[in-house]
Amino acid sequence: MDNAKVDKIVEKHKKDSCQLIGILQDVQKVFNYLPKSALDHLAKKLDIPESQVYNVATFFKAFSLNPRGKHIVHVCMGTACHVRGAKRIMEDVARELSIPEAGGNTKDMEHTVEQVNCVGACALGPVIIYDGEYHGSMTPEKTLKLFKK
Amino acid sequence: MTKEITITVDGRKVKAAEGLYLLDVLKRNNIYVPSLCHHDQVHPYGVCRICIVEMELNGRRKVMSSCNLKIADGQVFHTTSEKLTKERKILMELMLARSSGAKEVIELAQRLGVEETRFPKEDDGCIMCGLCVKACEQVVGVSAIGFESRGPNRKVSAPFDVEAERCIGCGSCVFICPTNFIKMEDKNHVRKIPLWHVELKMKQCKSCGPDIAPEKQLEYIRNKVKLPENFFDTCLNCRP
Amino acid sequence: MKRQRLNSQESLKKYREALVKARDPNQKVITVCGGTGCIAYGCKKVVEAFKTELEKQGLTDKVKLLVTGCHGFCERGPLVVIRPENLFYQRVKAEDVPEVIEKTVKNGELIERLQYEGKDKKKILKEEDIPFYAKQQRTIFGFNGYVDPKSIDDYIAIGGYSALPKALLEMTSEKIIDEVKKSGLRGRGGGGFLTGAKWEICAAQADQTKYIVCNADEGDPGAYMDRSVLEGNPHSIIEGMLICAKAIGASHAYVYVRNEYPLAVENLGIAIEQARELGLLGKKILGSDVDFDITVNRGGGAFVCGEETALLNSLMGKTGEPHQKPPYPAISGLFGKPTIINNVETWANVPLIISKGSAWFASIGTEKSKGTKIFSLVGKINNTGLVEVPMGMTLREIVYDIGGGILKDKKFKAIQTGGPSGGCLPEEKLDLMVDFDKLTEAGSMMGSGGMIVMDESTCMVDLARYFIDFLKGESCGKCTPCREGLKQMSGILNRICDGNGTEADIETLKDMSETVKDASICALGGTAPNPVLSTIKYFRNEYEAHIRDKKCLAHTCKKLIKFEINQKCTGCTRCVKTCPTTAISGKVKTVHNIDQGKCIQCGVCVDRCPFEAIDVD
Repeated sequence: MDNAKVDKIVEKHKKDSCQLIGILQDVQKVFNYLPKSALDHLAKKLDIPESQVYNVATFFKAFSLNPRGKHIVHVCMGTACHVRGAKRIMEDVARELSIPEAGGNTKDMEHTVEQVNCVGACALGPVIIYDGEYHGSMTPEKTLKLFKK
Repeated sequence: MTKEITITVDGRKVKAAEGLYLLDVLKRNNIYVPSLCHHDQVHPYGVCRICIVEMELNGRRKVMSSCNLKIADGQVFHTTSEKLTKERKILMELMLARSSGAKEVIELAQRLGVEETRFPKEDDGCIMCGLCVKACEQVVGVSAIGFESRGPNRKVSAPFDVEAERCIGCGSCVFICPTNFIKMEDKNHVRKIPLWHVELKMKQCKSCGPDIAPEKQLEYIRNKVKLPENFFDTCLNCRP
Repeated sequence: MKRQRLNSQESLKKYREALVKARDPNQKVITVCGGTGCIAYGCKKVVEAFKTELEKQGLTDKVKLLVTGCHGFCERGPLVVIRPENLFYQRVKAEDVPEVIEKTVKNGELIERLQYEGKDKKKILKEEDIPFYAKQQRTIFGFNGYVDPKSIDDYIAIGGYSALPKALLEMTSEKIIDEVKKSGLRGRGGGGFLTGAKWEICAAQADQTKYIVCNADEGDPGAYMDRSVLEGNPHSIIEGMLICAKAIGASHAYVYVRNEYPLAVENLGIAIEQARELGLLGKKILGSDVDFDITVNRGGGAFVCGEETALLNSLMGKTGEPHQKPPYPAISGLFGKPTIINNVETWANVPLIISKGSAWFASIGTEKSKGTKIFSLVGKINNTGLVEVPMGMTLREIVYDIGGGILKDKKFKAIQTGGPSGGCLPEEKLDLMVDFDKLTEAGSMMGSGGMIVMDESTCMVDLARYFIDFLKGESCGKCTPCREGLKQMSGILNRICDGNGTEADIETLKDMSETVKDASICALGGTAPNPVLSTIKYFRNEYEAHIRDKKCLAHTCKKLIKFEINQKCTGCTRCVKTCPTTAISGKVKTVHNIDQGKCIQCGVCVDRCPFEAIDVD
């Protein structure tokens, strides 16, 4: 069942192992993270060593090998956001949600908070992306309200 | 026939075949440049950076590693400048900080005049030379192990840090590791490489008894070279 | 509608003529900026409101609604520009839409509250008269305001794809390379290498298979110009690559886009499809002997992949590990084949050089840096956004004339150019003319064009720590100096920020910087120490204050600051309620007190206090 989903993605990318990063993006979209079983199957399908898949999956920041929460929240830590107080926001969010300052899942698995390095919306800093939606000129208070919605 | 070319090293003309790696040429000409991650059996990876030299380029000097630098005619190199000496020392300080207990690192550091490091010491036996990964890929051809993560968190590991399924237990990684970080143990007809979470059954010689090699490795060789099923039933010594 | 393939110069000309003929130059057009910034400010709702209102009023035939890419003035979004008059409205909300249509579109009346107000409190009518735009020279970026990025017809109608037939059918490869060389165009991704010279090297390689790569992995925190060009005008990139294809003899290109830029991926995908339909991608393009197609690859979030050799590895399905150059990609790149990698903005310049000529391009800019450059002007500045200016403009003009000065009239402290591995320049460098070489001389660099403005509340040691921590985490970890060196530099900087620095630390940092710069494999390590070196050079006093006096002059390093309640406190208890560590105590209507043992310097109380009763020292 899960393997079939992986197969479909691999077919879409024409079994091209050069598209590994794009394939992993798609796999993660389906499973919300990268399960080991899916990656093992993927390696066989693409006929590349598991070590290569594992290396790429752990190298790039976009990928998570652990299950993630229902809502994905990105806190931009780019320079423009940094000088406008992104660190404060991250600290407050971490404290309020009881997660590490580097980011993580909330206990109820409602949220996964991840730090990202610049999302390219620098004029709006500090920026939070909540389930893909951009929120600009954020303050700690405005951010915490997002979580309560 | 490859073309013979001339390069200049520390003011001295050196003749060599075009396209050779600089470090190899220097060694052959008895010009000492320290190196740590270099090994004849794998393609130069150029990561420890201890073998840096200066190359003249458009009137300036550029610092480059020599192990993976293919030479071309007329190039001018310097191997002993004050700058290089200083930078190699700092590199050794950095390596000492990471692998403060590794004998090979301590020895090379001393040879380059570094007794102590200014930085907080850790005792990681792995110096991240990558030789194990490269040997597994290029020499053995199985790519059972690889790198994980990036930056300061980078390490060598089996995929998912669980049993390396593709590992045939050949031990190439163990033999090539310059700091003896990767351990291997053969006991009770089982070969263990704990770093890759591998335990493999050994095959015994049918006629004299002792272990020959892991069954998986022998099977790998048999399939690769298309040898008969019973080829490894006996060890080399017991063969007619 | 299935479009017909254009198989000659003549057919493209006719196609364009038909498009232009069908368009009335006096047509009322409501332009809504659909860039990422304006989307975050809610422009999608504004677009919907315009659609509904135009339908309701039966104006859909008379008034065109155009959703474009980024206009650059992100600070004031959502932006609406009404053409042909170029009336500029800012911060437009869906509720404003009926009034805009009724008053402005139908009756030509202005709505003052949506207009831009100058420093003299006078309202400014037209887009081009707003100081933010007036000093810019928007040769590349200007198109964004006139085309729907999802429409190839819009691009063709404004003269797009007119350099293409010229290059493909009238010019030889040598002539194209010669033009690009003569223009003096240098790579906009940061390297600053002469684009034409790179093409020439690649074209001279005997290998028949060559590749083209567009580097759209804009990882520099604080820079988003490539995103906006790719989102807003993707065809200009395609046209640039097509011209290069002829010049070097390549038939396939890869665009490596950050996955964080979904709109860019979408718009580029649509653009490629449309170009294929018209036969501008595919076999025998416009009847020439050039075959060309493009594949889009998404990145996975790694700053190092902006480095070209790392990017190439990543394009082959591997991790972004760079290798030492030489060999350069122009000689041995993707799959070992000669490869030209240029960044988005560089590609966007190419069609202009071919259609307007190298002399036109070379007339803009300084002696060794030609053309314009897009900068992302962000941080503690009034007019944040993307600005395109001729090379050679001074930092002061950019910051004060275009950027409108520092936020809340605070004092300018530094401007950081060139991304995380650029440098921080102090006030005395504000009259520096911005070009590749001047910035490098001053200890910074052009990079891809980020400009982050800082005021007195930014601690320069903390900033250096921020950059080194960033780069430490983004290092691929392959080579010792970058992996271990940045780790140790980060340790030292963190120590200094915590008040535990020693006098020797500054020298150690400088020593290490040289080694990390020289001995690292790629430009990430090769430039990583820049923020440290430039802050030591220009703001050494701040380092010394941290080390000697245990003081953070900007009051940001937590271990070195103390919060205290002053006599302005009215005893409102707001801070008591919000303090996460219950460090604040006090009765209603009496001056409160902070328990320093419990205080974690989070600053929540300062945010909450309406009376400025909390001092930071």
